[in-house]
Amino acid sequence: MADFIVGAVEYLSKFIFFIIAVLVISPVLTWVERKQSAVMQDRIGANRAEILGLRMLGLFHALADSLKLFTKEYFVPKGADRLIFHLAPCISIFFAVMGFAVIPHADTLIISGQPVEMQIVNLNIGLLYFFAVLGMAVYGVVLGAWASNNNYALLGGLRASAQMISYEVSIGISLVGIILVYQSVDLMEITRAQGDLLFGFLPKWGIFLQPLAFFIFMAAGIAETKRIPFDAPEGESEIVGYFIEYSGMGFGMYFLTDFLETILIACLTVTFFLGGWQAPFIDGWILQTFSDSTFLGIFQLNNFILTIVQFLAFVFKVCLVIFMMMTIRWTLPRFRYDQIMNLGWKMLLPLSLFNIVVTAIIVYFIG
Amino acid sequence: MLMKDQLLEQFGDAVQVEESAVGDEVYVVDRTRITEVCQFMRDQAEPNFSILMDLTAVDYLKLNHKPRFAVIYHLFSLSNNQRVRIKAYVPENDPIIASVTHLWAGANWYEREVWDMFGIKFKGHPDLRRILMYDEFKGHPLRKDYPFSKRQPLVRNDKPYIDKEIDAYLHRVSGSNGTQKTIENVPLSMQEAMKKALSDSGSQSETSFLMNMGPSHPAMHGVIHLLLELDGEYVKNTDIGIGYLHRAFEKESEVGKWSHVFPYTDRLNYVSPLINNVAYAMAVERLLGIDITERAKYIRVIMSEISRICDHLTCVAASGMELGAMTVFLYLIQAREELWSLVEEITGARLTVSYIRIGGVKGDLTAGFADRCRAALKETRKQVGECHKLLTRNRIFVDRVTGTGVVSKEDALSYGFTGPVLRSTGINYDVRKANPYLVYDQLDFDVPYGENGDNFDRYLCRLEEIEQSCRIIEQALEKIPKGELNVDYEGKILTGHQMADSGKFGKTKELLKSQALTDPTLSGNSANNRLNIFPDNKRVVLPAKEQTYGSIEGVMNHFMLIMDGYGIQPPPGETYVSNEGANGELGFFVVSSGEDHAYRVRCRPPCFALMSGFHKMLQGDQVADIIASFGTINMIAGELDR
Repeated sequence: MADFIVGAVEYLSKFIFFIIAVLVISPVLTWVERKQSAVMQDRIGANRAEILGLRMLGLFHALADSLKLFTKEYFVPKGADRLIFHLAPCISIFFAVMGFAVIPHADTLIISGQPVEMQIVNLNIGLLYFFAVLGMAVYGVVLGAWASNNNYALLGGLRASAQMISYEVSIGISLVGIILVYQSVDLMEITRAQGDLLFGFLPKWGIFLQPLAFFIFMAAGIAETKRIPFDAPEGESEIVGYFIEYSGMGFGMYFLTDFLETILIACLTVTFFLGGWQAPFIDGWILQTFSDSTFLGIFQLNNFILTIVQFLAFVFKVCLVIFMMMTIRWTLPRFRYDQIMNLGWKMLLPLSLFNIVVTAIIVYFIG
Repeated sequence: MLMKDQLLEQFGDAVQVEESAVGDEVYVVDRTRITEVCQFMRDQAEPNFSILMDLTAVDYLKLNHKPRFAVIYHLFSLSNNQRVRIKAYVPENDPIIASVTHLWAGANWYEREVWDMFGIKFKGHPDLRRILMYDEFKGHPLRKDYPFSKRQPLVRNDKPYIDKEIDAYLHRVSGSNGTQKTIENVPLSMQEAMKKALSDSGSQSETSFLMNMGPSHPAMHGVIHLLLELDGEYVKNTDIGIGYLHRAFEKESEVGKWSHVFPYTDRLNYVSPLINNVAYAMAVERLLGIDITERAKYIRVIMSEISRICDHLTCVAASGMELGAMTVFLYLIQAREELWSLVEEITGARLTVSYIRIGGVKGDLTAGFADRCRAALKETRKQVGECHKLLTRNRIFVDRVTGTGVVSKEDALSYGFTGPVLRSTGINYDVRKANPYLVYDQLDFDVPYGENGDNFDRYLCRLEEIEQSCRIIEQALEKIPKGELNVDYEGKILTGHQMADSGKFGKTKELLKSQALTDPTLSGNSANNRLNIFPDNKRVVLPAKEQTYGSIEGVMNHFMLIMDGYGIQPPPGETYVSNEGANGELGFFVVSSGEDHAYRVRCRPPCFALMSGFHKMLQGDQVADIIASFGTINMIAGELDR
């Protein structure tokens, strides 16, 4: 019983820490998006929100945006299915947040001699869990679109469901290669397996072992986040989006979901293909340089420093991937619905199947 | 054989030649034989007139002409660039004339507009309802007995507007293909359509539904209403509703003085207002029979081409943005900003320029303009290059615009398309080449044209036209006759009120030596620049401010031109003058009764013809393609609705 309580407290504290971190990051991401697009487009970007004369490069815009969304009228259109209409954004954001549970963000931290996994839930089927969560995410969109009783919303919802379901197939199949190579579906194990060196100098990361899968996963991942060039469900200038009838925080939650999914996809890309929290070349050096003496009463010095470095490495890589995704978003125009379907079913799916076959043959003969 | 002889031989007494003082070719046709004449002109005449450029009407009530109305057809022959005006008089007590919609599909909207504005009925028209005014409107506003100041409540709520649009649409659909559709089997909402499809799955069921795009929609810039019948993502039918931005331009033009029309023309195509200014000024000058100075012609060309570049930049930028390429939008707008700064420098305004005057232009080019202009063109070329990199070679963009919004040559001619949209189908027609005006015949430029008539060709045409306009401007800057601004002028500069004040105190002698500055942008308007930009024509051109304040002749001249009942008075007559607007042929049909205000000003906006055939481009495309097609059409509600 005591173990159970300790375990529950541990999970809960990690969960709360991570959720707060993620919920703080996503509004900041709106600022990043504005500023990055401004740099790309020779503009200054948002810089007017201020608190007591302090402007902080426009960082307060994130705050102002959320404040605005909270205080706006939450409007329910005539003819809408009220229950589902209210529920849908919650479903949407719920599954986006759930996805973070299995992301490992550092190696094991030792507290008072007890190993603590730096992962909210250490599931041995983490990858399958991720598929399940991803599969559920589409419901928030489709239900919201249907409940709005609006043609535009419904068109958006149909586009979204077709697109998300199609691209989940490619995501799933591209990751089979990863399972084959690292022989596990536990995300922590997959990350650990990427710590070795290949030929003595190349980290054994997914991007080097599975380059094709990396590109497929990135493309399909961006499609999952429903952002340009895959933003046909939103298509702000044609059908305005599946959330057309949502105002205030209802819209805010969909908006947040988009950013959460961006972070989630970036986290997963890092975990599967960029070595997760691995900080190659410096981890061994840290373990040797620092002693394993007790630190702050409960930690081990070298283990503690290593964990911090790993966490920072993870965050750095995630930021890099997000930067890449945003660069794509501000460079390309939007696909049309049928082009998205063609790309998904005629390009990515055969490629990912091909990738499995090749990987399986190589793994059979080498591994 | 001359057109005149052909017509007289074929139709005898039914056709009469009307003399025109300004050289237009005009035939008066008996209204009962109008369709025969039009058919003859289109098919058998040599050369044949394949384009119905404009169809409008004039109410001759105040000229005491019997019969009261005339329906006016402007035909254009592509083979030898000939223009012909056909007039058919229609009496007041029986205002009916046969429709020519079966000859030119573009006549559909023109005839609706004539019905709306003049109450002339067209026999055999498939869908004769109001187009610019709303259905509840009483009377026909462009009739001379409709008082200018009469107001009507805008909308009475006896039936929701949208239901009317839908009824009209269903009426049109059931009329055109014979299958009777009722409101029951074209559901309004997609939910209903899906439920219905599920419930009668197995049996043949119609699962299309109606969707309204606009008048309030992010991509329907300006305001326009598309009523779409969709089958899932595919467009089956479209009905286009316009008139949301109707500002009674033509009625207003009949009230103010001749030169009071300029501010209204700014608001026609508000992306390239200078071209509208030029077109109207050319029409009035033709009536007056005056020739403007060479320098003014060059200035007009330069300003028109700057406007054209602005227009194309805006169009390409906006279509890029609507397809999700936001960055391209901002790059091109940056180039437009440079050009608009030039426009501001010369005209004093960015959008509502009112720069052209009857007889010339408001002010001369400023010192150092040429260098700044070349710099702006360099910037434009740079940004267009960026656009080529980001879009023209971008697989996503090319896939999206290739093969969408296709219009065939035949349809384009039948609907009277002009400009880049017509040229994208492979028909090389540009007013600047066909009927050169100003100094376009002295400048070397190419007219780009496409072959497929799809969105990609239109996009490429517009980008290439930007380059050609740059070339025109550069040549014009080289060739423009001298007349350097304020080079060795010794007089001191006085502001307008100082000038007026010293005039009141009798110090008029010095005034003629000093230079007037009514506002900063008018520095090019001083007495020593007048001869460069205005012909010496006292019945048209306002005197320079120095003369107005400094000499009695100047005051008299000014007084005569400004006073009610005097002013500019072109001799009675009618003329149609066209120039190449950014979206196609921009025509002005001007009727003068010899008074100081226009009797009728008809604007032939290029967008009107384009929008009347827009549904053809959408048929079979997807919802997302509507945005691409609408973007490359570059509809400007200001000139569409007037």
